[in-house]
Amino acid sequence: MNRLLSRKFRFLTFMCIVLLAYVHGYNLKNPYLAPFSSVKESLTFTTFFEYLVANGLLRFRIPILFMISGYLYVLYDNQPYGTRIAKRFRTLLLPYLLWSALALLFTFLLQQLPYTARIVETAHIDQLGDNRPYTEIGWGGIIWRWLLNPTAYQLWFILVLFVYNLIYPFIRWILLRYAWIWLSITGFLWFTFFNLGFIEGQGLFFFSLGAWFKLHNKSIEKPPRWYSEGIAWILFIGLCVIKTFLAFELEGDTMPTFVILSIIYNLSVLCGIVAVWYSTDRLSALAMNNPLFRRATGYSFFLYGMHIPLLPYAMTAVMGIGAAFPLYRITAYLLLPAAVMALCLLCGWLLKRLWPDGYALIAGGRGL
Amino acid sequence: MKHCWLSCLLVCCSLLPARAQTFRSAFNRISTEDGFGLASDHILALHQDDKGYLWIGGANGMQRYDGHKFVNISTGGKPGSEELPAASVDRFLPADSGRFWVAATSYQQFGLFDPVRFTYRSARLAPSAPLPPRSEFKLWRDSKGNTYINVFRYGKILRYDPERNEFNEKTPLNNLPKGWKIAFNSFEDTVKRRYWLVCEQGLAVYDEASRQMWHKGFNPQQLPLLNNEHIQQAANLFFIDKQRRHWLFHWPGDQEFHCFNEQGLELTDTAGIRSSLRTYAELAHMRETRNGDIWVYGAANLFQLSKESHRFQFYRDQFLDNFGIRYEMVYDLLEARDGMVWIATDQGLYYTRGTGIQKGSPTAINMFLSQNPGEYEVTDLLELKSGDYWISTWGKGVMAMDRAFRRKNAPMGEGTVPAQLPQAAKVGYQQVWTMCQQKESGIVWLGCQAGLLMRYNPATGKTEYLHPPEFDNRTIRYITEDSKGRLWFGTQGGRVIKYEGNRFTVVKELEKSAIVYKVFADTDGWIWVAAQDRGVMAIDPDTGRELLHFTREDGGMYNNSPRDIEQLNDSLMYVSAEALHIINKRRGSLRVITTAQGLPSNSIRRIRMDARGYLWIITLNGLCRYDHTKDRFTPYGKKDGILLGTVTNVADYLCSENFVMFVGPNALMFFNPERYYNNPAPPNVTITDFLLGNRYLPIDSLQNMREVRLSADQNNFTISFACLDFINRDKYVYYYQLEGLDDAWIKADRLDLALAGLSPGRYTFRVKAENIDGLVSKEITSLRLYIQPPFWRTGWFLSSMLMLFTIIGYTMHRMRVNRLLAVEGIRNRVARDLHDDMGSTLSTINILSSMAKAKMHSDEARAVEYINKISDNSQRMMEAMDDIVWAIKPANDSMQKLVARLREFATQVFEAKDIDLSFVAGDEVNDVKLDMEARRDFFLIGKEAINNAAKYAKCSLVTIEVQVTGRELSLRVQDNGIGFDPQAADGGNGMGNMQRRAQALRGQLKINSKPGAGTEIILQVPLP
Repeated sequence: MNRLLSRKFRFLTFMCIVLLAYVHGYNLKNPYLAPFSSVKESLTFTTFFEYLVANGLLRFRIPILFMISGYLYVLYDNQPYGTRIAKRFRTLLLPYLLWSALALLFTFLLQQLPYTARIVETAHIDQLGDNRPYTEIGWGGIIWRWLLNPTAYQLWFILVLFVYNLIYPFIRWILLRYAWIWLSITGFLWFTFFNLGFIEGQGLFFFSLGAWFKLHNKSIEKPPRWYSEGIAWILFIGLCVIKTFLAFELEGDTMPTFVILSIIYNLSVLCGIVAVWYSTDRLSALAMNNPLFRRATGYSFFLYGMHIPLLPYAMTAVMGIGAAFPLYRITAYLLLPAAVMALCLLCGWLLKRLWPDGYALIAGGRGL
Repeated sequence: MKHCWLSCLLVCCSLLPARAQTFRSAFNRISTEDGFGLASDHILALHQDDKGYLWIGGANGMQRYDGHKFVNISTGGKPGSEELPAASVDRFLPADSGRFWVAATSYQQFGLFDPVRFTYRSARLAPSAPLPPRSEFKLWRDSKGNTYINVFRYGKILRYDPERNEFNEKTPLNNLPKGWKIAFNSFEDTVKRRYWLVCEQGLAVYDEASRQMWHKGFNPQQLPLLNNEHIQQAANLFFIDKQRRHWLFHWPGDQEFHCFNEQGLELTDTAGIRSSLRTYAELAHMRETRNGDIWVYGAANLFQLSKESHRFQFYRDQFLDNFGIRYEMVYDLLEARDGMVWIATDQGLYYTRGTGIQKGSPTAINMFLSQNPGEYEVTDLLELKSGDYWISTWGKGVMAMDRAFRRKNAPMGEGTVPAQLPQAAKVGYQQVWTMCQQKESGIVWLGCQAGLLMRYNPATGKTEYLHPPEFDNRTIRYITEDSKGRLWFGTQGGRVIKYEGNRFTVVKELEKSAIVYKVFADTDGWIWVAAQDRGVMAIDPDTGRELLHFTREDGGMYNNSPRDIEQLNDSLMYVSAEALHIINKRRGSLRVITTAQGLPSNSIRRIRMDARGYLWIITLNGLCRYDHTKDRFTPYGKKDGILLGTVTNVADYLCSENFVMFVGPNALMFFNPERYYNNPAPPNVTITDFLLGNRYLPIDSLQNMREVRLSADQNNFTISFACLDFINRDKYVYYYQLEGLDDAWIKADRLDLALAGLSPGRYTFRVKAENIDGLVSKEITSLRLYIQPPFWRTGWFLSSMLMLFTIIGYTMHRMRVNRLLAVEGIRNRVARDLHDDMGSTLSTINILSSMAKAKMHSDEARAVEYINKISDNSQRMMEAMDDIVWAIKPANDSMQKLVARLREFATQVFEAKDIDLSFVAGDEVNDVKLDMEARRDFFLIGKEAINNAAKYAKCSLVTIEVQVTGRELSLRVQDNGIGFDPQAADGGNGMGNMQRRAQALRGQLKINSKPGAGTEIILQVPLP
């Protein structure tokens, strides 16, 4: 892998994680965002903008992160399986358990004060839907949340990635022999939103796709002859806009709506991946030449781990306070994710400076 | 204890002498003629569902009533649903989950109906033997939720089995003594956990605790009724009420009626039944309402026994008046949640709230003073300190009644005028117009016709007969007392007279025709006078000076003949003059309130303010209440127990304990305003209908949807709404909001909102009700609406179009750019060719020219050689130039031209060398499209091959073929010359150029040659 590609990977990883805050900062009345979610509110600038950004324009991030992970994992094919898994345990699973525990602890502390406890309850982010205080839920429920259903719900990515690393020998084998069959199957799973625990279409398909590019030495640096940057961006933005309008206009929770939104969503994600990937060379070069930015990219994983549940709790608190102010939702949506990310960056910087070993542990050895 | 005496009063009212007539219940009738949509006057069954809708079963099937209209219900065509019985739905019964049983017993059809989903599923009857003819069915339900059918003449009870969806005989209630048969009626005693079963052979009791069936032959608990064999003969009705009275009706010959206490002692509570029945009747059903009233009904009878009374009141009228009920059969009786009693009869649907006792306290008394219409021309009324009521009449003196409204003798009643008085005076003193009792002395003053005046002292019982000259022999119309104990009189002759204990003084004299209707002394001591055609004025009590005066012309009164005056507070006075007037005496201002401001009618007759400041108004439309703080009128009528509001329009009085009394010709109305104060908050408003165009949509289904989605052309619809409170619904004020159109809450003039031409978009319809006390429904009822725009106006379509046009525009832009790039490429190529071919050759010519010039004199042969080279180069340059120009020239942009040029060139070359040429070109070649570059490359490859054949092959025949095979254009140049070894060839410029040009064409160049075997050059170019 050449230096330009490496810098591009680093740039995109950082940007995808920062932009993640604008997905998790979505603050409409029904905050749960599935690709096929319809909006149960009137069409206003705020609702349209937030849905467009959070459930459209920024949905290319996770596929790109999986692709980058798949591509990079192939680079270490020369290492023994045991060594690689041991390393992934240190870089993925251990941080997963730590961040999950910290999120539980943070939530538990908030539950001790009436005001903050109400925020926790209102934020409604528990992945099992049980937002009672942990003292009522008991140890069984807490351990279950710590290990498998983290309150820091973004950590599912790490867990799933670890599982794909575990089964990587099989993925590698099948990609070398029956690549198109495997990619077709996983592509179908992705397109149909298949999800069975750790095996889910999105991650498996794009992880495999990233690995396939590297395994077959496919060039990912220069666009193919058929590629048109302009058309890719027009399609990407256009499909996102169309899908957003449809989310407001179609009847919610019906099968036709589910199918239409899902198809447009997947097409927009594909266009988004292609458009973003081939359009960021100059931008990544420019950004990565900035020393401050380059240093910030070292905290990507820390930002990823820390911003949830901080952001939803902060957003809930602001929503409660700001309801009397005009344009409070859009203002909070634009400012709060950035503020939370800045805070996370500051915390990461301080931790790294004051307790480097601790930082190394929680960041999985990244950014040192 | 406050109303104890009034409760007693009402008990006594039921025993009023026959001369007076009180109304205990007034019935309102709804029939097919009323335009509400009732399908049949033959009403058989009633039910109120969980939402509050009333369900009507009748001869034409079942309907739903929302208080505004009847809606026919159809369940056909719904998945999993059967069609409802279309006729003779004669029984409803509550079931679980909001459903209810619908029975059409004449068809032996029983089924469960879901009023939310509008689905119906019938249940099978599964008796163990065929049912005999004329079987009769009685559907009932116990406290455990079991549903039973008593099958009369079959003699058994069928119980509903939900798993099998059938009624079968598996119930212990069928464990009757051998030979016993169940009759029509059963009753569950939830207190003792017993089922009383009325059988043809007598009473049977199933005891849940012991699981035994008791009867007259087996009575281990010695139940008194089971031991009384007489009353068990042909029993038809058994009922235990909340007071644990055991009611039993049976037919030993005629129908007999018994009431027992728990110990079996017979009570007299059946009083009034036998005496009321003058025709054949069957008392078949008994129902107890929540307030303890007992209703008995059946064929030709309807009785009510109120909780406090011990005598049944019979209701049946031959001719319908405003309050009566007419029927041959009363089939069903339902107490709705709001306390209204609904009655299903064969002659329409009736409802009543009762005018008597409600939950132990009186609401209103409505009575005629005599059964002879107009017998008493009532002029005024008075409550004495003793508690007696005096009602003055014109011609019959004063009628007196005690607190129980029992008539008693009045000191100046009919025929009490002393005989020694002149005849004219005797007549005049019987024509009493007004009464007033002095607060301190208790003396009662009675103003009469022709200026006659009576002064009655209750303490001594003596009456003085006066005829003061100050009254000028004119009728005394009003007497009142001010705060200083002075009496004020108003006369028909327009005089206002003051009496200060010793003498009468005329304080104000209007014209003789100006009748003084009312004199009112306010809290400031001002005397207010309401006079005919002279408006209302306030005068100084001492000087008679006018302080304020309002007339129609001067002050803006609605009418110049005010009738009544009341005071709200130290500033505001109420004056009635057809419309209501509010005078601010401090500011001297007047506000007129008419029907435009909500007054029910511009015909006010009496006004009376109660202790809380509410103004009770009698208009020709009846009674209403005015709440000054909310500026709101609330009418009261039959539903509220107010029956004589349009009749009692002559006089009014605020009695003790804040009771209000109005009287009119022969009529009296007495009510407790407290009953109308504490109004509970309205129930949540129900959206009763959604009329889209001319089609009603099932509103229950719509309300289960997140939003009602309508197409762009479905933007004309009407939403109907109401509180399902049949008593108060007309008194509620409804407010609606249509978010998306107007965010303001709008007071609804009617119980529906018609919307036409609504623009596409999202709307939320919200509605709430407010009662007269300002209490609002607990929840705001809402319905979300989405009128979809036509697809070409949707955001997604517009953005799709935008995206499409952007793609097209971008593509066109890219094509233009590509074309410009292509032109630029050509120009570059031409420039390069000119530079490469022309430039180098011209340089060579230039050098050769110089060299020839230098050698011209020294070495002529060399000079000639140079000149020959110059000639060759210039020749070649001309040819190259010719090729370039030829290729650029648009006229040559076809394969036909290219082939022709190739043929021409080959002919010229080979003729010069005397080589035979065979040139073959297929017709398909002419259809091939190559761009300029490709044509040039193709031509130059051919040209090079021809030159090579001519120069080096030493051949006699050259064959050239240009063909199209499949998607491939081929050029073959074959000679029969000496050939060469391609491997050994040095691949000079010519061959190299040919290969490069072939690559540019993305084609393949093959050279087949062997020494002595000729040469074949094949160019294969894939076609796009």
